[in-house]
Amino acid sequence: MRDVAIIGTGMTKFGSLGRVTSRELVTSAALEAMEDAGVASSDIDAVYIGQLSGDIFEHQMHAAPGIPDYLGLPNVPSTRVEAACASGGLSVMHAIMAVAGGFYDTVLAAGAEKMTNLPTTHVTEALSMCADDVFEVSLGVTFPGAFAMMARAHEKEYGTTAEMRAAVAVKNHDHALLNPKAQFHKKITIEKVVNSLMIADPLTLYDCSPITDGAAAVIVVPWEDRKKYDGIAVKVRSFAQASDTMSLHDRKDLTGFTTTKIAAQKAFERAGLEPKDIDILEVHDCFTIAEIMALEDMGFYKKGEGGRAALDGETRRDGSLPVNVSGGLKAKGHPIGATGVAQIAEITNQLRGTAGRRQVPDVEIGMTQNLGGSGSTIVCHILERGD
Amino acid sequence: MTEDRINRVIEKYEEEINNNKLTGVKCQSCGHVMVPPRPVCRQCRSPDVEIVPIDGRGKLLTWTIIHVGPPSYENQVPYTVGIVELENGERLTGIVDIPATELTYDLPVVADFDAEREGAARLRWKKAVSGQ
Ligand SMILES: [Zn+2]
Repeated sequence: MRDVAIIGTGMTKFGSLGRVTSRELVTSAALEAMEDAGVASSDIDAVYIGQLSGDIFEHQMHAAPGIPDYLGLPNVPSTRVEAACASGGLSVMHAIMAVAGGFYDTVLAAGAEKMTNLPTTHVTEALSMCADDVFEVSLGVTFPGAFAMMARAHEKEYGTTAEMRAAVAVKNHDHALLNPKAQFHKKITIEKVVNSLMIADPLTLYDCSPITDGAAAVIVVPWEDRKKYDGIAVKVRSFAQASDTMSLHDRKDLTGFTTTKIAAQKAFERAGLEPKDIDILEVHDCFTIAEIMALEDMGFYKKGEGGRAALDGETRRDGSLPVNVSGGLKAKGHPIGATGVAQIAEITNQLRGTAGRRQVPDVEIGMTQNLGGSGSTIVCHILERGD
Repeated sequence: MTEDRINRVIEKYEEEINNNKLTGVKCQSCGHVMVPPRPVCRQCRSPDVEIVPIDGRGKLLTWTIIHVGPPSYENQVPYTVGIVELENGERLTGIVDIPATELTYDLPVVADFDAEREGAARLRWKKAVSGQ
C-alpha cells in the first residue's frame, strides 16, 4: 500500500445558487482543485462523486459519468458514492483507497448537492429517507426529530442545556464570517438561537444546518508523486469508517454514536496518534447537539463535557481546540454530498497555511468526522502537514 | 420460512399490526426476542427466527415534538414521536398520544394502533393505566 497525499482543493460558493445543476457545480469545484494542484485534466485517472440524491432534487440519477463528461474526459471511470450525509467523506475515502492500492495515480474526489429546487417539506421528506423507512419514517420521524430525541437524552443524562447547544451555533456563525464561500455571514446570539422557531423540540431553527446548494473537490495522488505537481501536499495519515443500525431505537446509547467512537479509535490507531495530537477539527454539526456528541465520542471531551466546552469558548477558532473554523455545516452550509469533501478541503487548507483570513496558526495535524443518517454511517480522516 | 426461502419478517409484522397485534421474532437457536423483527438474530446470527406476540407495555425513553414534518404528516403538526423500551428491553419508535405537559422520562406507556393507517405506521403509544 502506498502513502497518499491531497494536493488540491476546490469549492463553489455554498448557498441558494439558483438555476444550476450539480454537474456544473462539481465542474467548477473540480477545475479549481485541479488548478490548485497543478494537475491537468488529462492527468485524471478516475473520479468519485459523493451525492445523496440527484434523483429527488434534480430528477437526475447516474451522476457519476456526468462529471468527467463536463470536464471533457468522457471515458474516465467515475463512481457515485451514496451514504446519506457521509457521501462526500466516503467519496474521498474511496479515492484514497484506490490510490493507496495502486489502481490509480491521480484521482478527483468530489461531492455535490443541489437542494434548493424543492420546498422545505419535500427536502425534509427526502432527507428522512436516510432513516429506516418502515420503522421510523412511516411513524413521522424526521432528521431534526431523531437528533432532538438524542438532545433530550443527552440533556437528561448530562444536563446539556439549550444554551450549551446554542453556543455551538453562535461559534460556527462567527467562524463563517471569515469564510467568503459560506452560506451565512450573519452574527447570531444565544438568545436568538434559543428563541427561534421550534423545528423539533428541543431543537430550534438555529440548532439546524440549512438547505444548501454547493460542490467541493479534492485531488488525491500518491505521496511519492507529490513533488511532480505545483500543489502543496498534505499527507493522509489514516481514515476509518463504521456502520450502525438504520434505526436509532435499535441502539442502547441515545446520547452519542458508537460509530463515531469506533471510526475515531480506528483512525487514531492506524495513525499511531491520540486526541491530544490533533490541532484542528471539522466535525459533522448537522445539528448543534451533533457537534457536542462528536467531540465527546471522538475522545476530545468526556461524555457530558462537550456542551460546557462550547459554552466556555474552548472550541472557538482562538480556543484550545478549534472546531469547524470553516463555519461548519451550520453556517458554511450543508449541501449533503459536498459536505464531507468540504471538511477535508478545509483541513487541507488549514494544514497548508492556505486558509486565508480564517487561518489558524501552527496547525500540523487535523481530523474530520462525517456522519450519515442518524449516525448509521461515520467516516473519519486524519491529515498531516506535508514537507 | 416460505417456499421461496425469503423470510418476510416485515410483511408478517405488518399483517399482525393490521389486526392490532404487536409482534417480534424469536430466535429458534438461542431464544433471543427482537422487536422490530429482523431476519437474522442479533445475538447468535442464526437466520432461524419465528414471529411471536409481544407485550405492548413499556416506558418512554425520549421524545420530540415535531413542528416541521414531511408531506405525509404536514397537516398533523405539532405531533410527538418517542422511543419506547418494552418490558423485554427491546425498543420501538412511534407517535405518542399524550399531552406535552404530561410527558416525562420513563412514563409507563402501552402500544395502541391508528385505525386510519396501514402496516408499521399504525403504531402509537398511549399512557398506561394501572393494571393495563
Ligand atoms: Zn439467536
